[in-house]
Amino acid sequence: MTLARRLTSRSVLVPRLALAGIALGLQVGAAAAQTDRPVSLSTFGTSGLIDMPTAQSQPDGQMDLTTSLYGGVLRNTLTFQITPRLSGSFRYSTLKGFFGPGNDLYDRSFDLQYRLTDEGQYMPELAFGLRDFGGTGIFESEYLVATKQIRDNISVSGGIGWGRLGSFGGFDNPLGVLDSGFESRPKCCGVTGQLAFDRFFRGPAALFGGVSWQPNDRLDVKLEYSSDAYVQERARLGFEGNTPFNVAVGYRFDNGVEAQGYLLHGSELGFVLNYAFNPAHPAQPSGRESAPPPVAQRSAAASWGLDRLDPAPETTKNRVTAAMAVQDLDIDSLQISEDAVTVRLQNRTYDATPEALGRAARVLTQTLPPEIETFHILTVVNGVAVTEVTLHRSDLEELESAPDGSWQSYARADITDPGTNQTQGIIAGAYPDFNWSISPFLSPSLFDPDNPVRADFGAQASFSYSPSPGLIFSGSVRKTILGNRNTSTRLSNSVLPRVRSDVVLYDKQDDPEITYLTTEYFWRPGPDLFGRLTVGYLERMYGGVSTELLWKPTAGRLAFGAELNYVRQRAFESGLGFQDYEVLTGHGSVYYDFGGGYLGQVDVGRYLAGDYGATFSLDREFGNGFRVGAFFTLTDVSAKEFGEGSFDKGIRITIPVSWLSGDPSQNNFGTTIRPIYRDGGARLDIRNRLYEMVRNEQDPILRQRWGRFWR
Amino acid sequence: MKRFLVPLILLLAGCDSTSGSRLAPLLPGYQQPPPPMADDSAARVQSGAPLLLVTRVTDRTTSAFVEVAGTGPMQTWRSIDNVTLGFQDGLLVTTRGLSGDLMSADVTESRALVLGLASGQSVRVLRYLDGQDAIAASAYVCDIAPRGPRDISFDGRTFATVLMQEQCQSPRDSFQNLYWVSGNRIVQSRQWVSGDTGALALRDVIR
Repeated sequence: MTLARRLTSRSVLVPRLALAGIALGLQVGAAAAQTDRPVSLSTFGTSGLIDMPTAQSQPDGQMDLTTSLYGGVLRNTLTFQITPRLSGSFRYSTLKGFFGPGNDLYDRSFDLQYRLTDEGQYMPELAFGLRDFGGTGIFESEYLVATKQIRDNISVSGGIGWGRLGSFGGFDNPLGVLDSGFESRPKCCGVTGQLAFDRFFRGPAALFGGVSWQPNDRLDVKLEYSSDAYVQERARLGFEGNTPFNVAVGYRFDNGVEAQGYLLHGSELGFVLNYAFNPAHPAQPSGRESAPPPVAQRSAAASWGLDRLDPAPETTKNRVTAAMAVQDLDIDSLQISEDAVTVRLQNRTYDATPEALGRAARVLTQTLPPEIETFHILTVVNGVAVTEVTLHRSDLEELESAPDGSWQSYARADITDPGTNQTQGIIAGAYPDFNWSISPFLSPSLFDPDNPVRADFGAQASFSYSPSPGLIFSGSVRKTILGNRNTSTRLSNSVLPRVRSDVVLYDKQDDPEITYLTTEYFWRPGPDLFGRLTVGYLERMYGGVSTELLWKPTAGRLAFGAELNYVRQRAFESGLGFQDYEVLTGHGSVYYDFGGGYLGQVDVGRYLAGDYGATFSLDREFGNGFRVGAFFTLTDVSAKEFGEGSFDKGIRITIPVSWLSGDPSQNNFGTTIRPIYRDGGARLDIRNRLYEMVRNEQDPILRQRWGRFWR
Repeated sequence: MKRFLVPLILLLAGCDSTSGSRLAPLLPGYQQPPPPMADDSAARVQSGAPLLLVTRVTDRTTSAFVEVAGTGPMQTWRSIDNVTLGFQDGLLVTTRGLSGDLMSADVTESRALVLGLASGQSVRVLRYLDGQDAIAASAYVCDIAPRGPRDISFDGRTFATVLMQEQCQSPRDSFQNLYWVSGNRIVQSRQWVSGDTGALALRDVIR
């Protein structure tokens, strides 16, 4: 058999190999997530037995999606292990017939649990927690709990609870010794959304406890003594249980799913379904993209043909551009001076900038004559060069297969700010640059008080046209094909200018909407400074002028920004028309990177309704770009003027497409979940805010993701 | 859950002017894009470059690899679907494009024992991407010993080799590599890549 034929016959196996790779990656990824014995989850979707909490933490960074159901009570919980000790949960519950037949209660609640101690030989884990702090209060309780592993597969928990967890077998609050104010718990609930500081750890307390036994890796048997009397459920939902004991049996599948069945207070049968995954562990840690080109070694210049390269500038540019295109990379400038080359690299493919840098550098080794030793690669976003990375060709040759090549290549790279030195040697034909896309979209509106899931699905078309570096005309039109966002009947009752609460009126329009249509200009006003000017239809609900200035050094934890916008509310059709409402809005922002992936941000300024205040945000970003965060905004709008919820707050999640698919991509799925979206503390939702635009090109992210330089 | 999400993602990904769109081939006047410059495998095969047959042990899929670069002890091989494997004197040190790639490996000690047909212990450090785009190193202690002479045949021609075994252990996992060594050269082997990818069976093609 000839080898050529053998190759051809093998090539049909290639897709099979790739497919097998996907399946393999998924299985192994799921299995790897459960190396340690998993911590059992309660019906509340938090570490616990059945209804009672335990002191254990889930593995750092893990997310647990839990659905539990008994009778007419459904609880859906998302729990995130924010730090190794702190976890937070968001829960959406439905209590059927709570307000009488056909009148259900939809309840949104938040929990926090903090673990105080690690387990020792005799020392148990200790944790305290707040369940449903600041929602409508139906599950409101506080607790202190201890858990000790007494055998490898048996753990025992015991604790003391207040609020709902102090409602059965309660006794006088022991904290009354400290202050008699602890002895009684003020009536629930004042205004929803306000933290119940005056009720925390007050009123009668009660003891609870239980045991969890895992006879093997799959089974989990749990027994608990509950201190929850189910007072409201007895009065309103006909709950009948007559014993404080609950039992449950859980079965764990290989793919991260666990199913539990439980018997509540001897009368109610219930089920729990839980899925756990960890953002730190995507299914395919090194991605599915094809291999990079090898470094062309100058010691073997002849075999690479480096000695025969045509040195004419035009041919060189064409050769480099073509080889970059194979790696899905663009350059818009190339300048050779003696032994150095400077290129401006536009990466629209790889989410990890170091991977783009590594591939570009290897392309340069293959396409430039041997005498060129120094590569200056400028990473360009929206036409402005953010970072200049200087690499030495001899280092690339030496480190490509060095065992510690990743770290050494980072250590030997010079990472600096190109500053205002921006546009030289622009390649003829690089501009104007025209890009377009047609894609479906999914636009969810989650956890509206009447309906937990509303979503629109449709098609959108976008374009961008850039006549010169930094100047971009772009627009996007979308048309909903299918969806139920227009069925919402929650028309605004706001006493403030209806800057956001009218969103339903936008949703009700059938015509194609212009999502944005703008002229943007990005520039570098000075070293460490970035500028943006945007004019046009800025977002779905507002049009006008927006300008922003950001100070952010190439390395460093701190950044400052200032943004000023003059906007007018768009007509409900989201066409070209406007309404009468105009406002000057803007913020000063401080950004701080705490390290370890924790990002803080404070924005102080004037919001869309003309209210003054500040937004506080904390996000945890994993190295692969998966991001989970929370924020709240306090302004001079009173809780009463604000309406339901008292102030604006929410959680947000960003999932990189590459995390899901294993293919490199700069696209993300992002969603913000607000218990309710009202008019106080509302900000303009503008595209291409500078901080998020530049930080991927800078340290510490470059350093964190440098493992991909040789990928 | 990811199993259901991936098709959804692909559906939502749509198409655009940069990446090859899935709708573009349906447009009138569409021309198949030229093959990427790097994919010169066929030409290399024609010109007689060395070949390697590689089978993924877990699912028994096989691809042919052609040598594309080599300086000193280092060689890089590429398959037609653009997966590359890098070797140091026949010991696997890098893979690219296998989704659970071996990013680098320090095999200096193992190489000396295997090619020297000697018994002994080596330390081997393998580096992987950790899922957050940083490098995670795993250190293994390996026992290396000859298993004795083995005659193996390639396309009807028989070669005398010595089979070397390398048994590696880390606190978390273990693996076994096998090398058929003939005249200071590894002509056939079975080598570990990663927990995600498993092992590869590698066999030179004699032309």
